[in-house]
Amino acid sequence: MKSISKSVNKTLNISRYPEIPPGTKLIKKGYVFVMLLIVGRAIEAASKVDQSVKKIFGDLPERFTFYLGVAPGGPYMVIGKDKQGNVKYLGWNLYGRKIDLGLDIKNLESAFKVFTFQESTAQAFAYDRFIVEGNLPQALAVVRVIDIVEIHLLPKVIARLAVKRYPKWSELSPVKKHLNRVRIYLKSFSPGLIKVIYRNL
Amino acid sequence: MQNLHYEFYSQPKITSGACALESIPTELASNDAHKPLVITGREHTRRGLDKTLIRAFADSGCPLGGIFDEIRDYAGISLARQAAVLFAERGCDAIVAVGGGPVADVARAANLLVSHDTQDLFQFFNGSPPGKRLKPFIHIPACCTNGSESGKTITVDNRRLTSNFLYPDAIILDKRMTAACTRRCAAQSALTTMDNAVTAFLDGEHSPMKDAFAHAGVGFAAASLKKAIKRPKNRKHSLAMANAGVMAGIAAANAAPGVVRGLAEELEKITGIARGVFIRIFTPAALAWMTQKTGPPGDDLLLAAGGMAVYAKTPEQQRPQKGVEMFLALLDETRGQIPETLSSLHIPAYRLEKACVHAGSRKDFPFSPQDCLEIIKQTQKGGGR
Amino acid sequence: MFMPDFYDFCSRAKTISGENALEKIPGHLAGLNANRPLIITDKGVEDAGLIDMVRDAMGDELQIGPVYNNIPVDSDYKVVDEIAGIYSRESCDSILAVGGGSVIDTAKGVNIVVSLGGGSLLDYQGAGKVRKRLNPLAILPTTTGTGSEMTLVAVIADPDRHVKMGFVSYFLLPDLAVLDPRLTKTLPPFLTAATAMDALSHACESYYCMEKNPLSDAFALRAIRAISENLLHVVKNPDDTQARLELANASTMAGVAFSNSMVGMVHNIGHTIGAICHVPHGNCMSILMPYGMEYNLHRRAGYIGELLFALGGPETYAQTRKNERPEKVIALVRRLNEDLHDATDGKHPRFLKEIYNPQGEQAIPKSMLSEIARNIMADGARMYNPEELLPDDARMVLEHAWEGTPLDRRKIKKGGKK
Repeated sequence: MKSISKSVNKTLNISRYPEIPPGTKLIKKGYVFVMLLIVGRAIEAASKVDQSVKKIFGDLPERFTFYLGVAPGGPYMVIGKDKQGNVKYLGWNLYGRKIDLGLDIKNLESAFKVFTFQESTAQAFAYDRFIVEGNLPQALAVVRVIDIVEIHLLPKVIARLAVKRYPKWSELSPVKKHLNRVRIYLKSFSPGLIKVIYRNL
Repeated sequence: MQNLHYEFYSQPKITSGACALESIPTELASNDAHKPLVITGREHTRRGLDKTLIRAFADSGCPLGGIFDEIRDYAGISLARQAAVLFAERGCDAIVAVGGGPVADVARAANLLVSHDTQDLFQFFNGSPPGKRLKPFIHIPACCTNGSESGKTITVDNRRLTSNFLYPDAIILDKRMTAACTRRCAAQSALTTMDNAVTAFLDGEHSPMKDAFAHAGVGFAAASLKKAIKRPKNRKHSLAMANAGVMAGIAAANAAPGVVRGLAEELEKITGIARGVFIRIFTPAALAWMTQKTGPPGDDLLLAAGGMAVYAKTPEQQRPQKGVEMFLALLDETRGQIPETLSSLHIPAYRLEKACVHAGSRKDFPFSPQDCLEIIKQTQKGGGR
Repeated sequence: MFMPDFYDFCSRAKTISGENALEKIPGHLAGLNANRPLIITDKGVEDAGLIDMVRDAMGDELQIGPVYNNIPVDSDYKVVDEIAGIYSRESCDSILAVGGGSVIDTAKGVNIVVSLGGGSLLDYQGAGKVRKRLNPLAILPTTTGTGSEMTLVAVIADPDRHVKMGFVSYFLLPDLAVLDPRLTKTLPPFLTAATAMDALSHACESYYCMEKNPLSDAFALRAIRAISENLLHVVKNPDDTQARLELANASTMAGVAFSNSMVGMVHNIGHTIGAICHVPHGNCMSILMPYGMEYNLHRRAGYIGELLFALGGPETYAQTRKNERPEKVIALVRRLNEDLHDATDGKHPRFLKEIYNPQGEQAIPKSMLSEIARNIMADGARMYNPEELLPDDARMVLEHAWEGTPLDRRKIKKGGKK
């Protein structure tokens, strides 16, 4: 290789082809960060309000911790069960935690599509956008939780895009739905939010 | 019942659609590569395709070792060597080629050099074929295609090399990259694609896998060819045609070379006129000639070009003929962009003969110079129309 | 031609098909710089004389290494590690896997360990651990159904922890897939029926589930056509070599289709039944297939209708009105099951209650249905089903499939975006 380097180098000015470090898309990253924060807090709230979410977390092992985030550099949200079985949003730092399950979206652009509801979670799964690090059944349970939380958080028009089947009112009466929605929103933005942000900084 | 004696091989992983470009870093990582060298053409960087690629690498943690954009419309050994030096200097471990034809050829030639750590490219052409797996190579179709990027053949300094190691490892189809520069370019790419597909269908070896690839290719072309030529910058249709190009290219790589393809390539070499033009001119007569020689093509051509409804409605014995008609009608969509008669090109007879001799003497080319001459003669008479 | 917003497709295994495909293996292995393969198989295959036949066909061009035949029904990692030890002790350089699903999965596992080094398969758990090219692996499928020779997955159990480890990488695709009718010669008719119906379910589900893409569609349609034209014929005339080769091809093509576009609820429920009741996978697939179509009909009527072209032939397709096509497809699959039931003297079950275990007892008692339904949430295939499938829905489907009655369409819950 050396010898051709010499002969070719005369004609090739390497500095014309600079190395290009990857840039960053701050706005999209920020958006996904905020969405993950909201969804994370909402999962914590929903685990107290919604019976099916409660049950799914009940079936997961003790002190189970998982994260959902964007590969390779974040942002992330970490959620875990504590000793008493309460589900807690633990913030966005992966360091110093024992993670049982990781759900990585392959790249920021795909994550943006998921969190702007251009692609439903199931569709994104089908399009191979997720990398599952850990036990698949547990990952499926977590995706199911996210679907339920989206139904609670989002108005029907948008939620219908994000989940496969929007429950009929015979299954989920409007009164209950709106009541739960208000409770989840209130719990999500309670002082606990400031506490968890402070702890992560 | 058809016999099923065949071999089929298709190395590339095809990724197409939304966020396809953004998936390249993950794709590289799954091949244990973390710093690609990008090889592309002057025309492509002028249109800003390199910027699009750089943006797609944002937040990926994967740097680009450099963007080598010296390729114009000729694939030469010196370019491959320069790229190889840049590759080594920057410590790259994979190659990404943005663009078809010469770009893909140079990129694969450079890959041969860096993977075998040699500077003698022509040893591979002169009887010692590549003996080991190359570095990860990702091809991103952009603008025009010459139909062999997704396959296993490269042409460098007018010499051809075929090896299974030359298949790309991944092909990334993204609508931000596939738009054609001009209508003429779109038409030529479409013709190359159609020729690849029909070569695969007409091949004597009956392989359902090759047929499936060709089927999907013709299916896309049937739906999008007209609109892609009319509006070459349209993203949806150019993406569909790029898909068709890749699929037909893989199908053709698994079939014996077609007579039109060989002839068109030799004529392109001699006259400098794009091969698409010759494909347009010779295909009708060649199809008629092949039908006479080996019997009518299977009815798969109709299923691919017409779809299920048309196929089902056509009586069984008419299906092969109807398939050929629909296929030729698709070629006719290039009208206005591509000359339609051989006489309008004013090529002297001795040059035509020379091309026939060159084509006939190619290794692994199943047709003789007389066969090629016969097709030219039929074309001049207006055969197959 | 259908163009999804996004798709990826990869079928990297070189396929060799034909009545003398076995004879070509040495040449292809030589092209991969290999000439001392280890053979992995199971006792049934070896007792049927297939290994001797493979040896004879390949002649003395290869220095064939040892034959390992002690593969359990569910591949587990201890066997993998044991075989990997043999591979290195005997200095083999490649693997020939002759058999069905568990043999193939085990062989893929062995290939990971011997190619990447390390003492145990357990070192390679987790996403993205296999990212280098592996040693040459040739797969010679002896059933006409699993399609594992074309998938990038290996499922290997850890009996101590009671988990199934999934290994996913494009490098798990074999270098060679060899389709030779001699390999399926000894397959009894009722197993031909079950495994080919498994392949049919791969092709059908991949055609209407969520990751559908143009190439997998083209593969699926060809596979369905070959199965519907040849299956009954092969079950009745097991000696027809050409037709058996067609079925083997169909199974492999269906494998390509489902490996690239994934499958839905039929597999979701089928896997769950298999895990709980230990019944043959192919039987569950053939029984559940029409239910999967009925359940997803309100979302996928168009695609299911197109299956009629391949399943019933172009003439039937042309004669049937567009809105009647999906129903006709469902009816045809049911009739195929009935015909196979008759052609195998009742060995091919039509409903879940007709599946018996080797002791002659009902393998799926009705009382198990609710347990099965509860467990469907743990299988990955549910993500790819067009309509949401929750335990209540699964229970409803299971009850109908058990009795053999068509779904009560009013009970299917609908909602959300089409």
